[in-house]
Amino acid sequence: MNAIANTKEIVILILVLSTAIVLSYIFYSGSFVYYDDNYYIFSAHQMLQGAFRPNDILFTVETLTIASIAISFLFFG
Amino acid sequence: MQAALPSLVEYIATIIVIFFLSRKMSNDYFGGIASFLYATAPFVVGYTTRALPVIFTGLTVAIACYYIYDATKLKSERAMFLAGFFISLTMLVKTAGAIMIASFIITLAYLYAHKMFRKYKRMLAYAFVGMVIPLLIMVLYLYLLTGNTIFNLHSYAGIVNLAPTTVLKT
Repeated sequence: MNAIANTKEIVILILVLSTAIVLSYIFYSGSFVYYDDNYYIFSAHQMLQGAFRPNDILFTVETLTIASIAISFLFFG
Repeated sequence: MQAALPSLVEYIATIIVIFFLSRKMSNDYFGGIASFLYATAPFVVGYTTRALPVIFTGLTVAIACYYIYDATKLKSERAMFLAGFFISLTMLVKTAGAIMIASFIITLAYLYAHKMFRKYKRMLAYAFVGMVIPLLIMVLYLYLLTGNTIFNLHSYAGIVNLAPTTVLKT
């Protein structure tokens, strides 16, 4: 990415990112409802235990998604 | 919270990529408006609280778009390589990303047919090398774990071939 050239760009980007963070915080405050997410979370746990293998369940073949969740579990429990 | 953390990080990263892409295409204000629209889109914000590949797919495609724009504007081989790489990476995030790869190939064919690469044929080679690297990793990984190099496509085919009215026997 190009380096940020001036303060105007920094101000715009900070404003947008602040909005995003506030919105995310509001949404995170709500209750968690997991549906398909459970398959990814379960696969991530298996990946950390070294027992993961893609199977007939559609969600288990999306490797990078599972790996990113596994990394999150690895660092934040 | 930890399960949805990658989605949140990817959401922030996508906003930044969209800002820089739109700024490059037009100006600061356009970048601000485009990234703001993405940041406040209800479905996007909603999906940041889920452990799904939706936001991650958006990020890889946004990065690919950034490099595609760079490649076509600056005739940069490096940018074309990275564009191909990130487009293919989408398939490792979500198998339906195969559609993105097909779209990318069709776009390259269209540009080639219109002689956009007349002086820059090497760029096409760079795009294909970029695309092949993540796909080779995917094929090797699937072969080692399942013995089937296109196991993910087989999984998807099983779903796609079901008619909406099919009654599943358990």
